[in-house]
Amino acid sequence: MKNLNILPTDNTPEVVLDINAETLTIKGVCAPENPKEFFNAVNDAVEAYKNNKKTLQIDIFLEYFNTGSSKCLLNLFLLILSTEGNKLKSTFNWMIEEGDDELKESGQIFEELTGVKFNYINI
Amino acid sequence: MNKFVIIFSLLTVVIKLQAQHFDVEKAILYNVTFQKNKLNAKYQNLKLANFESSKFDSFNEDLQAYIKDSLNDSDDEISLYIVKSIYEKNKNHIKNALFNATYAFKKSNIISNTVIKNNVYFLNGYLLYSLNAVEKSLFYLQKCTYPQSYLKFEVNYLIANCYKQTAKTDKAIDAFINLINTSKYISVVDYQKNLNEVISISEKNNDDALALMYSLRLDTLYNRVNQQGTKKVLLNNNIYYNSLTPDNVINYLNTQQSINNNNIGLLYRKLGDYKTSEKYFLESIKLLGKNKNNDIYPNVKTNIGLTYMYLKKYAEADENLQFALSYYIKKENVNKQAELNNIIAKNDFLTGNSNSAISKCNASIALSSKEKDYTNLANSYFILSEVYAFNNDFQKSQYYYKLYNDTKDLALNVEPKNTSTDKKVNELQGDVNDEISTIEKRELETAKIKLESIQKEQELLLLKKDNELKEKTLVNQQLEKEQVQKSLALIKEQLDKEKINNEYLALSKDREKKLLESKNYQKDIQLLNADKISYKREGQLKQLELDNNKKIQRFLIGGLSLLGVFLGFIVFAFYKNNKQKSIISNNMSQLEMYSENLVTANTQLEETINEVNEQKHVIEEKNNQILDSINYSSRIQNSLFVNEEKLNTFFNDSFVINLPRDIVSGDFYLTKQKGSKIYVAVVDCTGHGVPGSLISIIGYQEINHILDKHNFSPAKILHTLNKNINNLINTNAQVGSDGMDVMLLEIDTAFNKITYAGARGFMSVFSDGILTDYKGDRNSIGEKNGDELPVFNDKVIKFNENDIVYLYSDGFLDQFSDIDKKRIGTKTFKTKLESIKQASLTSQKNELISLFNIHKGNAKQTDDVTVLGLKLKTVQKTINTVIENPRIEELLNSISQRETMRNNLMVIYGTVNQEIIISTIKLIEKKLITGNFSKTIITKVKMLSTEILQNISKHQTEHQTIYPYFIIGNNNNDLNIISGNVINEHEKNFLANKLPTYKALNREDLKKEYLETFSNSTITNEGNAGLGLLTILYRSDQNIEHDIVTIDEDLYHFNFEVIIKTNSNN
Repeated sequence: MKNLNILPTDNTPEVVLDINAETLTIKGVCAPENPKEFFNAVNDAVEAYKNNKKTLQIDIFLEYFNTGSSKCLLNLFLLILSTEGNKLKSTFNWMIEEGDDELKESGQIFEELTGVKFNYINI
Repeated sequence: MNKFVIIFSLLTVVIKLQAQHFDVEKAILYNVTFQKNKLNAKYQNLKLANFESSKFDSFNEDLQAYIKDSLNDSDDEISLYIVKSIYEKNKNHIKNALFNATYAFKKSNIISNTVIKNNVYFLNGYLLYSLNAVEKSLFYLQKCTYPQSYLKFEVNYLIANCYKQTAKTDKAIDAFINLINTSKYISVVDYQKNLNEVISISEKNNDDALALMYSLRLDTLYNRVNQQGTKKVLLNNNIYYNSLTPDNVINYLNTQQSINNNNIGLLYRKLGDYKTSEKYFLESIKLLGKNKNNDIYPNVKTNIGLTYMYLKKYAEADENLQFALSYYIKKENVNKQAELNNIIAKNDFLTGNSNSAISKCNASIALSSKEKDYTNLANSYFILSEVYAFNNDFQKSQYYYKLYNDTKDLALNVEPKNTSTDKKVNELQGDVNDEISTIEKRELETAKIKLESIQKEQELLLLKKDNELKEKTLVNQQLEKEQVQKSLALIKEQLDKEKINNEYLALSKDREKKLLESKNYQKDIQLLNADKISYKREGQLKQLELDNNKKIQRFLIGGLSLLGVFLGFIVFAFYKNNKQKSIISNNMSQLEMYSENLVTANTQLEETINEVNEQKHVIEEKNNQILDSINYSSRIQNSLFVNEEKLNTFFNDSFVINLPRDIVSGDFYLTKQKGSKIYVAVVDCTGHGVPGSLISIIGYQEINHILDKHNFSPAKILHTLNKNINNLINTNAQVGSDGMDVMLLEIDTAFNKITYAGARGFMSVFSDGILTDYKGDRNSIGEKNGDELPVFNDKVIKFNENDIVYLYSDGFLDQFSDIDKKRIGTKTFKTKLESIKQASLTSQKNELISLFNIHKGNAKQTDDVTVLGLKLKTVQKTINTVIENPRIEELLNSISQRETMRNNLMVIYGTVNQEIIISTIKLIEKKLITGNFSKTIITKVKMLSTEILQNISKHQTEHQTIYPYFIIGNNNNDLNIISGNVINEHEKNFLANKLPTYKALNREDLKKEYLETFSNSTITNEGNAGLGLLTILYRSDQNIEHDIVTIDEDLYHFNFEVIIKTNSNN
């Protein structure tokens, strides 16, 4: 199990999995052409984390994202929430800029799809 | 009987792994490629020659040079070490081979090319396996991840063999059984090879049943191959078999079959089925029939002999055993002779021929003791012990039994080979590692030196750059100096010019001043004249002509003296004529009165003259001050006007005529570029001179401000301007209605159209050789119809490149001639334009100015004059010229004519890629932030735009003339995203089916569908099975429109619009 630290680019977000702090942060723009490839590393790291740790705080602060990425995000959330193997106690923080209802609504879609409660935090 | 079995089993291991048919070395060599073209070309030649040794030698001669050459390219360098290693292996320089392979492995840590990495692992694994260092071999082989099935197979085959050699029998059997299944698809040779492996291991493992099962399977295979012949033999083209071709594979397989039959015979015998055992041995002999010189043949003969012994057919046994013995004698194979002698002794013993048995044993002992063949020796002693026991000579039997026991231990104590090779390999590897670490140390040093030299180089470079910078600074300073000098010269020149101007102005001022004076004098003279007329009426005084002061004074003095003479004459006449006495006395008193009046008038006149002189000075001074500031104002005003040079960046050619009536002008013009649009306005403000110029500055400011702040159409700009001007200056009742006539153009160079609106104002356009006049609406800016503001209208005209637009204020047309007092007028102006339409705009300007001056002659200029001539430019690839499909052209034109399009925030036209998408989204965001759109709208637009652009990027079908477009338009309440691209039949069907369906769903059902698809769809690189489309519909609240036009048989144009309502948010 290793820390994950993916630096942001113009169309991919910064992703940091901090094992000591027990946080997963996804921040920035998420609209790569092949989101699956991008999320592979994240999923692997989270899977390893899941086998070793008990709690995880997920901080999502996305500017915007494309459909492919939203599907990959959903899969990532479901992986974190899955009860298979070691079960994680997780907290989801969905960060938005004040007044960005569009992004908030996107978060609510994820809530409906995963059945988990998001904390909406204004930045 | 048990004891026999032990002896026999020592003799029965016939089958050993045959030479490997798969050529690992060639497989790796064929898998090697190089990045460097030259090197790769040479290597390809080598490959084409199938690595023929002479060519390989010559390649090797250059190898070291290649390696040096490739030091900066790790991939190539490693590949070269691989080639070199195999070369050394072929030359039997094992240490060198191992060195190069190990070195390649160490280097391979830094590269990412998996093909090369796999080659390195396979090579190292193979080399170590061939040295019997199986544990080490496994380390490398297990790293291999070849994607090619045959290479994967061969790696696994080596791994299985490693297991076999490390006595991990279960693992080995599992591995080989696995390989059997895959080998079916690799080649027949590999299939039988793996079956053989399983058989041999299970035999060793004493699992005879398993061995027999696979042996029989092998037999089935051979029979099938025999029946089907060469053509059906499966041989993988990708595998480099050692001297095995489809032609000789049948022979090879026949041999293998006979070996297999032999094995089956052995197994049946082991299992006690001697009859079947005999059958298989006979089959084996039959197959070998043509090839008796094969080493296998005497082996099978020995084995069948043994089976006959079990069957108690001793004569047949003897016959076969003797055959084998004679073969070995011929071949001088001492060990085998000893072995056969033992078996024959056994057979003799079983037939009861003890003497023969003893002599055979002694013969065997003689042979094997010379060879220190303890195994056969032990066997001989054992048989002798048995024979003597049978003959009741227990002393001798005991003696030989003791010898048997001692020798058996010796036979067992023979050192197994593997440990020694492992030791050897360890030593070898130690050497190799030492060498490599020496090289690495050397490399580190070289790298350090190189680094230092690079650092030095960089320092030098920095120094050089510093010097260059200094030089540049010097040059710049020099240039600056020159520039300062130049500007100083310019200022001087200007000063000189101004001085001349001032002098000229002083002169003209003087003239005006004099004129003013004369006017004043005239007034006074008129006064005097009035008096004079009354004097005249009396007939006493003559009219006085007064031109200047002195003249007046002279006349007055003259007048007085005349008066004196006249008085004298009257007095004389009085005395002469009594009748007229009373009349004269009357006249006298009157005359006295006149005289008094005249004197008073004279002093008054003098006073006036002094006053006028004083005023003249004051006016002179004031006038100077005013002119100074007016001149300065004129300079300010001129600085607002762009010159022709600047205009020519927007137009193919241009001219400006700007002639103020009174130094400063009430006319002005302005230009502004916004993307592919150029705004041009010509404005004529009420009045001229200073008041006109003041209004013009306000107008200039206002129009610029509106253009900067908004994306309004020309009519809307005029409307806003009118509102602002009315608020600014016309609310004050003391000032009369001030305003301006405006002609405002929005020239869209991308869509070849001019949108214009006018508050009065004129324009003429030369298009296709025809000159057409256009006029603005009836109201000026500043006018109000009661409380209601007048309406201005946009009109659109299309243009072609190099059409000429003339914009002008009425000053040119209204200029009066000094001869006939007639205006230049539209007709003359247009005739002139017609006559000069071919000329350059510079000569057109000269022609128009000379027309103006000739017409004006000595008359005063009526009004400020402004004329602009603009030769229109278009951007190169406009949609209009590119698109040939009339339906799409019409569509695009209709889009471009729309109100929304006038205020587009973003237009992308052409192929879309990821970079374009990223920068487009960034730009959109900036524009929306500037436009004060809400966070929600900005995010929504960014998401939708990304989706749409990525869809275009994924699905854009190449078309020669129709490019994709992506436009974001800003209507007052809506943002429109309009896109279009060419799609194929499949995409068309998908969209034509899904879009109307999704659009028709009510919000709740759409959400349901969206969530469902979101949960269930899978993402591939090609798309997301409708999820993208649903996302767009969901985010846009289903405010979408689309249009699909057939272009060709299976090509369609897809126009897609998303409307985002912003009413409550903007």
